[in-house]
Amino acid sequence: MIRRPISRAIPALLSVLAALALLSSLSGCTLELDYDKYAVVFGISDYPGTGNDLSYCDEDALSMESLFLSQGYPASNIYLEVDGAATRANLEAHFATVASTAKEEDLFIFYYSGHGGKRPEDPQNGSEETYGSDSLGEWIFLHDSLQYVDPNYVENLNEAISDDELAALLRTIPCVRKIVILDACNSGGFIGNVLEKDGIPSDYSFGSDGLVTNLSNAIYLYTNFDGDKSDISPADALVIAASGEREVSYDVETYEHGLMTYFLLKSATKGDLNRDGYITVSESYYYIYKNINANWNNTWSAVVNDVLFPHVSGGPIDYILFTK
Amino acid sequence: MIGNNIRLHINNNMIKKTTLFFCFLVFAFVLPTPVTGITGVALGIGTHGSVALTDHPDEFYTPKVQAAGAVTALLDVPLFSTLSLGFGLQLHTTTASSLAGGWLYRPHWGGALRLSAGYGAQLSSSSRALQLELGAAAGGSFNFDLYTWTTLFFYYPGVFIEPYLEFYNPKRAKHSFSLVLPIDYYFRKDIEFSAAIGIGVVWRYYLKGRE
Repeated sequence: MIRRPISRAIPALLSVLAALALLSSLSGCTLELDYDKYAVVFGISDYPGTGNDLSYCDEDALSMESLFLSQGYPASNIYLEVDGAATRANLEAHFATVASTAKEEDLFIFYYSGHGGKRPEDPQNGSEETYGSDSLGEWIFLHDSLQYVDPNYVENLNEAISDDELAALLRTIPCVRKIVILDACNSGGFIGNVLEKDGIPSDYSFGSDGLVTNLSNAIYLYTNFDGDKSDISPADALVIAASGEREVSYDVETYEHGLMTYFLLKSATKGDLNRDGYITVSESYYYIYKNINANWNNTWSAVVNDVLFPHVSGGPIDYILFTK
Repeated sequence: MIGNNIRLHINNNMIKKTTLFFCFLVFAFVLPTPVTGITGVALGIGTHGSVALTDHPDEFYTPKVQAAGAVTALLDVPLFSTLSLGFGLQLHTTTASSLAGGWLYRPHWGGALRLSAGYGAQLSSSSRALQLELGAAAGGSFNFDLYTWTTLFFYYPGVFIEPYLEFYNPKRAKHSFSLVLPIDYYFRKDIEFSAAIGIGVVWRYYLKGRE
């Protein structure tokens, strides 16, 4: 008596589940990406004087602009500034322009290649907090923030942008989907994950945490989550950072680009890990991660005696970064 | 008696209605049958596929479905005459949602510890060749996952109920197969709603056989 209904019900139930799963996957095949895309692209190789100059950050920015154009970004929606024009004033002006024109459903990307560092969050009061604590803020050094006053180099943090300041600027942009890509030293400190424990530490040269540590820290983050955010939280933007909070990043002569940017550019064509024609932030990140490990940590690290890994934001949502 | 109780307690409270409905199912279909319960420690392995529904607190992100699958190693320990305690170690994966709108719910994978209490009863329609047991397990899950293509670990607890129909041949009473319908609800702090419903099979090996 009971076997006949079950024998009918199982295939029916399986069919419903399969249809739902198929519907879920197929809906990705008929994408209508009907939204505008904006990008603010900054790259600085030529700082005041010569002592702080970098080699390929301006090339990074120009290559990113070309990539965004090839990805269908209207030229009028790309705000590119390199070297002397990559100032805080221009950054704020471009953010304000995007904030006044972009809509909620649009996509916004901020790309930066240049110097980064760790400094007190409040430069006026000169925080005494120790290196490595998150109370030391991370900064990107825009052109005028590294001054040359003969014969000295002087930092002017009023012309730089801290992690919290960038987060505040991002919140002025109405787009729900925002992506920040930072090819700079200490840029992992811009990431403000609240529920995820990164298995790659902020300084990889000291090795990785064990599985038990990662799991116990993940439980701690869950149980102590109170909704507070710091730095750039996943709700503010998804961040891909070239290095850990306590790591430096590199310009590489062989690649004629920043190390991360070189693989970021390649990920636009080679990073489609699930072969669906779209490269998400996570896919691009993983392509960069894998290739930095293979081509830098396992090769060049012996020469420069340094290892590093890129980092990425957490959160349950991911966005399309590139279309193949 | 049961019908009277239901009439006495029904009101507009949805939770009470649901609880009473569940009790009605248990009393109506399970108690009238001969109770056998778990007769010894059992080891098992199961697999299931599910459809998960995820909804983000931000209204921009609409609910989407994700496919999921799991393999679970089980240990069932009898408790009293009709209950069992279940311990499960699970490996699971959840695929990405669709990319509609240019965004997706991230895929993730990981492991879980699942603790449950189960209650089962033999169906009166069972024959000599094929014994059937209808039951359900309910419990909690402790999930440790990694977002796919990242190095980001995260934790979330959950609860589940898993109705099952167990088949076993009395002549080979050490083995059984079950059809399971796991329903999971997850307590994610960055997700408004996360739940999954699936279907799967479990093979059990009773160390001392079944009655």
